[in-house]
Amino acid sequence: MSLEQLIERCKKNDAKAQGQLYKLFSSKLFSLCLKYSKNYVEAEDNLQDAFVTIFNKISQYKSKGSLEGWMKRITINTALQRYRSVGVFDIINEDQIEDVSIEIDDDTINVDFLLGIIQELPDRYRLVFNLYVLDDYSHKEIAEMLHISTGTSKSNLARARLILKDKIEQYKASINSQLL
Amino acid sequence: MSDKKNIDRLFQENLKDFEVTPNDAVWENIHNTLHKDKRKRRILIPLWWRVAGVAALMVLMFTIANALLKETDNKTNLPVVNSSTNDILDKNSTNELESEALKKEPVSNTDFDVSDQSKSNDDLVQNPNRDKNTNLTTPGNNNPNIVASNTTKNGENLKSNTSDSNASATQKPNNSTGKNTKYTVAKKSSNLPEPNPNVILKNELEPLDLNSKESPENAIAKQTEQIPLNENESISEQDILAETDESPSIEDAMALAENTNEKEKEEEKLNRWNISPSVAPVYFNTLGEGSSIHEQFIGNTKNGDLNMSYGLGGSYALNEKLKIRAGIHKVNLGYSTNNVIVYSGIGARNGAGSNIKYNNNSKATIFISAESINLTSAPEILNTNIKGSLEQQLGFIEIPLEVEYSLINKKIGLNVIGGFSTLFLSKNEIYSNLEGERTLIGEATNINSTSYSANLGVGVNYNVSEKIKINLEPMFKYQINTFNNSSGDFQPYFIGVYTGLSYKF
Repeated sequence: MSLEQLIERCKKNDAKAQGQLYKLFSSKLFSLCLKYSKNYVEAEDNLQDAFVTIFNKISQYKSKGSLEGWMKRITINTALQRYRSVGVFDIINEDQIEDVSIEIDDDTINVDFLLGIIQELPDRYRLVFNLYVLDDYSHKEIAEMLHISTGTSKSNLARARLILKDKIEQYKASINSQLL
Repeated sequence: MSDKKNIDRLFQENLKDFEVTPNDAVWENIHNTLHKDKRKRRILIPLWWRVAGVAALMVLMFTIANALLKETDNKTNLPVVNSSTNDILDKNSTNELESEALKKEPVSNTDFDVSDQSKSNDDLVQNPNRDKNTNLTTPGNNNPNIVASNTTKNGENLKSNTSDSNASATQKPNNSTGKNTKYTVAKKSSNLPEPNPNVILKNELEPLDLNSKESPENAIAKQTEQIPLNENESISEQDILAETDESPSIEDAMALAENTNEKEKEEEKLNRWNISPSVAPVYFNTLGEGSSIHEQFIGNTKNGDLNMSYGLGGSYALNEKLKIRAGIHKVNLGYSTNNVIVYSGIGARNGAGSNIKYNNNSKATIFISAESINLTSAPEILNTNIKGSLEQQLGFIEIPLEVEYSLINKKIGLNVIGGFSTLFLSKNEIYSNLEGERTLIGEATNINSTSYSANLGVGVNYNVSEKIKINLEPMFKYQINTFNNSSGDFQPYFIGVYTGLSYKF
């Protein structure tokens, strides 16, 4: 069955087709949820809410862009929605810092560790870092999505990078000391 | 050493193909969320089927209860020989007569009963209905007379043919013949229990009809009013007083339930609590052959009586499936031991094995099982004594503690119920029943003041609204430890079809 047929059947609320679509995309979207969430449980909640929205709104999907991109946008929006309602974006008293690129030693690092330190980031830093670095949104788009200024977006990104760099270096140091 | 690299690229490259399979539970949740609404929509279509199903079930219950009673009645009529005197109507046609007559009567019945209830100060409450009923069945009443006279002529053979215990019991009356002791006029009365259940059933069915015309609250109020009336038929003065004392408390409870219902509308919280007043026709009988009264009655046929139970229950939902429930019910149980020969003699008493403590008025009454006497060899005097029945009436305050597990929880719900009840004895009476005349002869000595029952049942409920449900729960309750000295294999149980409303809050 082609993806188009699957989408058509999902539009008719066919449970079997919905199950197949879920199977196709759940791993990809779950990893997305994991990056945008503080922890595993929250990621599961996000994935669930995202898929419910996807199936409820699949009739609005017009086959213009890729289905995966459309589903990703819904998933990211679902994740952001959670923080909008909590009011994480309202904090404004913050010194802005320059957006600088940070160099780091090119070693292969455990993916779980990287995911872990992303999740440990403060909520807004995590969202900005994810949106800009991993999902190719511009600062302008991020500023609109999170109701912040582009300056704040850039500053948040820089702080996120610094925190991540510190954690990676600490991690490497601990591994090296173990080796010695 | 590796080259320096942009931290963004490190994350991008490492997380590019990062995929994690989520837990299966997530899909189940999604699926349930998506298809819950659809299920609700589907229910609307076969709703009529479901309502019709519940109605059919209720009709079935009453038919079964009715059939059970008819069956036991037929048994008692088996020995009856259809010889002349009157034109003996076919059993069926008498029944039809009765039911036709009763159909005309129900309204006036209640009037009679109410007036009775208010002014009954006599020990012997003579119910006008009962008289009418016995009149209707007169053709059948004469039969046992004939049986007795046909079968027992050879008084001389008494000793050789009857067992020792029976011989000693029957000898004394034999001696007293010469002294012309006056025998109480005793007549066959095993037909009597039949009209009773019918009357009760009519009364029971009547409020159900009213249900359709009036609001549920009114119907329930009618039902609770009905209860004392039904019991009135078989209870002496003190009990009637007790009943009337209690009926307002039930009404209070109803009012309370309604009040709480009003409060519910104001505050919408977790609806874990449930309060449910209920009424039930209860049918009492024994599984094995035995007697709680005397060992000589082990083989006698026994008729369970149809009585009423009513009360108030509450439940607490542990989760969506499981509920714990408790409550308090008043339950009256009764059964008749048929084929008992009754007469008043000179202080004769078959002492061993008897569990009756006689009251003063009936110290001189003697009861013998007609089944224990060899019909061809009984003393002649026994011929003149017409068989009656012994009626045991018990009342309990029942405190059930049950678990309810829901199998279906939609507009129509289905659940299984199991648990136990603690029964506190509140009434203990034995009557002799002769020719429509009921006489209190004493009380049983072998009933424990506290006993238990194991309960098992099925519940069907219909959600009228979010808060209100109509319940129908046929329950089987097997009594444990009720009698401490019963004869034979006496295993009492009762079946009740509990109907009522329940309010969630």
